[in-house]
Amino acid sequence: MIRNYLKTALRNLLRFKIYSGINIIGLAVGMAACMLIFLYVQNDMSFDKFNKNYNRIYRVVDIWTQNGSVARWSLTPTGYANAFTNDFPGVKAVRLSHGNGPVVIKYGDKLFKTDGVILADSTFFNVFTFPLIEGNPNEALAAPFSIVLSESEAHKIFGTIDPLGKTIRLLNQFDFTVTGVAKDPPRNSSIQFSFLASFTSLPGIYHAPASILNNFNSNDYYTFLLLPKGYQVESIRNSLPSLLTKYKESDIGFYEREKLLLQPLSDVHFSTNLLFDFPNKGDKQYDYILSGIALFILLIACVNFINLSTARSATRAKEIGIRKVLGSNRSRLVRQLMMEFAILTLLSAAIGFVLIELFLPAFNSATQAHLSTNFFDNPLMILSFVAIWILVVVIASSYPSFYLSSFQPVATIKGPSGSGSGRSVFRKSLIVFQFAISTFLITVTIVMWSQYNFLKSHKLGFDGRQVIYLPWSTEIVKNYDAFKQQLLQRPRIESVARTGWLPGNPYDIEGYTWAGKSGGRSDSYYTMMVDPDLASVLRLKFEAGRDFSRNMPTDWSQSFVINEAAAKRMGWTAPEAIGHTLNSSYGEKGKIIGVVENFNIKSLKHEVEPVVMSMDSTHSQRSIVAMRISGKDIPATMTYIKSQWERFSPDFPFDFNFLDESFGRLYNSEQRLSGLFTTASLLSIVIACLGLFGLAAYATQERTKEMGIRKVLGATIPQVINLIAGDFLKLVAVAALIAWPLAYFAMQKWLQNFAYRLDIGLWIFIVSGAIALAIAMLTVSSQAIRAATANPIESLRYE
Amino acid sequence: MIKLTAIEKYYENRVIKTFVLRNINLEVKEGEFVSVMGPSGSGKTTLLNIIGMLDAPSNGEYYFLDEPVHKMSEKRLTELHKTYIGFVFQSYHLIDELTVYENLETPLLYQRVNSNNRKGRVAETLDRFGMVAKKDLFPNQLSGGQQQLVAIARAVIAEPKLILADEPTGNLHSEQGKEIMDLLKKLNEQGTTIIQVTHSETNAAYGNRIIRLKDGWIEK
Ligand SMILES: Nc1ncnc2c1ncn2[C@@H]1O[C@H](COP(=O)(O)OP(=O)(O)O)[C@@H](O)[C@H]1O
Ligand SMILES: [Mg+2]
Repeated sequence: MIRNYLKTALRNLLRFKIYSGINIIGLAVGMAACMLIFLYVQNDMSFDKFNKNYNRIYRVVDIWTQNGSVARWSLTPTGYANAFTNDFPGVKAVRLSHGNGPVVIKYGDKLFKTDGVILADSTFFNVFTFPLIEGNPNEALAAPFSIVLSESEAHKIFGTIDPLGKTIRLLNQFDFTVTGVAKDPPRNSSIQFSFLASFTSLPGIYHAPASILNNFNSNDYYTFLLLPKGYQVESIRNSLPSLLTKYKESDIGFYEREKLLLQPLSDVHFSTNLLFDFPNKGDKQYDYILSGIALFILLIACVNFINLSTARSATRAKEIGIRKVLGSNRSRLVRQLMMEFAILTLLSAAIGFVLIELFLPAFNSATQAHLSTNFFDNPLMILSFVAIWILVVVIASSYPSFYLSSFQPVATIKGPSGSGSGRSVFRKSLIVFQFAISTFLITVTIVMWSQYNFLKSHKLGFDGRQVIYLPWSTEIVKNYDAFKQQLLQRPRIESVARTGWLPGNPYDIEGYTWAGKSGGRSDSYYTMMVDPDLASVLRLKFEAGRDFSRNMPTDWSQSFVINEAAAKRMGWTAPEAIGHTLNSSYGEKGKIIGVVENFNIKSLKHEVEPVVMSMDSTHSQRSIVAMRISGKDIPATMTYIKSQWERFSPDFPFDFNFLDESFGRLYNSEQRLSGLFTTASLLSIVIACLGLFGLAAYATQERTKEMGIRKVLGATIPQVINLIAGDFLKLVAVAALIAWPLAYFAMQKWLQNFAYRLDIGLWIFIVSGAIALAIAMLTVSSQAIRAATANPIESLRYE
Repeated sequence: MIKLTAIEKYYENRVIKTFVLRNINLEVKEGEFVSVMGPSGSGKTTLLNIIGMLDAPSNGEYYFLDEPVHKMSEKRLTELHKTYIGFVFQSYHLIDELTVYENLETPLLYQRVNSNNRKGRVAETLDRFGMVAKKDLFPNQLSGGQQQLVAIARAVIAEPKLILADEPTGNLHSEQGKEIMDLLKKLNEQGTTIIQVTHSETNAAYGNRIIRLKDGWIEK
């Protein structure tokens, strides 16, 4: 019997090549898309879970309040590590610094630029699962000035030489001994490092007393805790308030420590709104949305299956009728049909695998993900693929199976009764469903791209075009004035400034108070050490007062320039703010001499932040050099800057960034998301149109006679085309009507993520509807036109 | 009204040309009632289709109301046959998905007859053909004879100047057949030109001229 089934299955497959092809390919594309998205989501969800103890690791989050506004810090003071290990025996703590920006490393006389060096406690390798290739995990980070290299850095610097025990020089100042080589951190690790230096080096690096390792006066380091097995995290959580009070006397009091939180390691990748958090964030919400979309794409493909099979039922009915007459019962028929579908879907799955292999590189580059197709390392993936396959067989075959097997034998042998094309309400609703999803996705995609472009083109209050900035170098800092003079020799370098940081880059925060401030405690403001040229480099505009001036001795240490947002937060208008005295928590004191128009220092997801600028009187600040250059012959200008850099700072590799570009990178995740949605909506519309194509072909074939008669009766060609196309296009239009409000509400909600958002214009809906309609029209009409332009005699002659 | 000169029709495949019509010269004046007779396969239907502009001749010239059909655009052809020509087929060619009423209404829709006018004309035609009771039935709920009646009614309803009928009574019993022939005769007397294909000498006698086809030639 099985052979008999297989034979009919195969013959049916070959006999109806178009339908089989559409079914198989549509489903293959759907399954591939679904798997890709699941891979992506799985990767995102797997973040940090490679750590064997991930469910016992927590990060300490420090929450402050200032006059009701809350600051959530992912960084903590150094003192908490000891506090936790003392008060909760068995708990291990590890402190990490965040990468302090590019650092130059010298080995022998070779220079290497690195993304950053992270300081870590010696417990690092006990708490986290980063295997060491060389070195002792318990001791590698114990002694001051020890350093552990990642495998790829070790290879880059040492080649085939054994790095262990060798000395490398950091920042042209500090000699570190290599004590270990660690495997490169996996991509799905929040903690990324290429160099790990021992935390005990901290006093040496900052020329500070050892108490810097155990104090509470500034939040600079991540603290992770590893709880012993079986330890109830709740017991620690409950004693956090008392721990806070116990160590409170040692805080310096310009803010109020509100509370501590313990954040599970597996949540770290998804946390938002923490100050100084790790980059490379995921968003569970997007993961769920994407999974939903993956399922919908699969459903669209299944719907094709259902629609085309039932549409074809008229031709299939006769065989089924005869089988019934010959004694087959219903459940046997259902089984037979299910088997057919299983074969078809298996073919789809196989093609789907090939598609994944083919498109993964493109997908990776579009989404900036690093997924691999090594399924066999990924049992969960294989399992979910099988699950998807079974799901597809059940969904795609259940309706057609029962529909076909319920034919009355006598009626079906005599000839099909019902008509097959897009007539039944069920089939119509399925088409509406498909196109509603497609139109929804198209609308969402357009909104996302528009928002992305809106963000990129929005006025930021500063002008980052043709602003170049160079990394920090001790040598440049030492000879800054000479360096600057040299640069300004070139007329194409318009202005040069020094600043602690720039918009879009890591920032500093400090507390300020002023006379008449309510509440007594200081408020925190974004603080920037600048020089008098920064305003002209960034083209900041003054709202009131004046810029810093080199000729005013008081400006060097007793003046502040703030932005409007800061003035507003302090309770003044721009002109009112001038002349007020501010006290910083570090003891600076000075008058506000100018207020600049607002400028954004963070991505436009955030409102304008309040910024207080002061001049760098000590020159000891880490600072970067920024300059505005002319748009003419930029390469020549760059060559010149590079030659000057190499003259002044031969030990630091030359590197530069354009400010507008580095600011633009803040929207990488929006760009990535728009890319994903573009792919998803393209796929959904392609699959839906494949189905529509099949149905239109079927409807055309079925109604060829009718079309012929109508032509004879005087119908014009457009009228005849409309006979087929009109039906389908109406459905697509209904689908758009359903999709629009859904997309509108979904996007309104999404846009709430941004402080600056575009208005969802009517045009977006018109365009999305027009796209869906146009694609559907092309699909359907190609079929209908052929039939409509044929000579009616051809179809009527042998009736 | 109709003038065919040296009309030929052949079908070609890789090996041979099969002639269906040869050197047909025919003139039909307005108001005539012409019967075409001939054995099966002699090209009667083909000739009718060419006259009805559903099929193009391989060679020759065709003038309809002094307009050269052989040079006409698709659009003009549609226009002409929509306004001037009604068809009745050997097999009924009703639209299965439409009721009797809707089948009758269809040509009027294509001629953009307004709704009231349309209703009136359909009602009148239903009445004239005695099908009022059947107006809501679908073709497959009617006997073959009844279906042909609907088909004829549908051809007549648009009040064409020329009716082309391919064995219109072939499937009707003699009583109904006579009715149809009387009807055609009456239409002819009111000015409609009629060309019918028939096997029956009796029916052929309703016309005022008989053309006999054999192997694609008009017999003299
Ligand atoms: N598309 C075609 N290809 C080849 N031969 C055809 C085609 N259509 C009709 N014929 C042939 O033309 C001849 C005339 O057909 P037809 O006009 O239908 O004859 P009649 O109506 O007199 O019975 C027949 O022999 C038929 O086989
Ligand atoms: Mg014939």
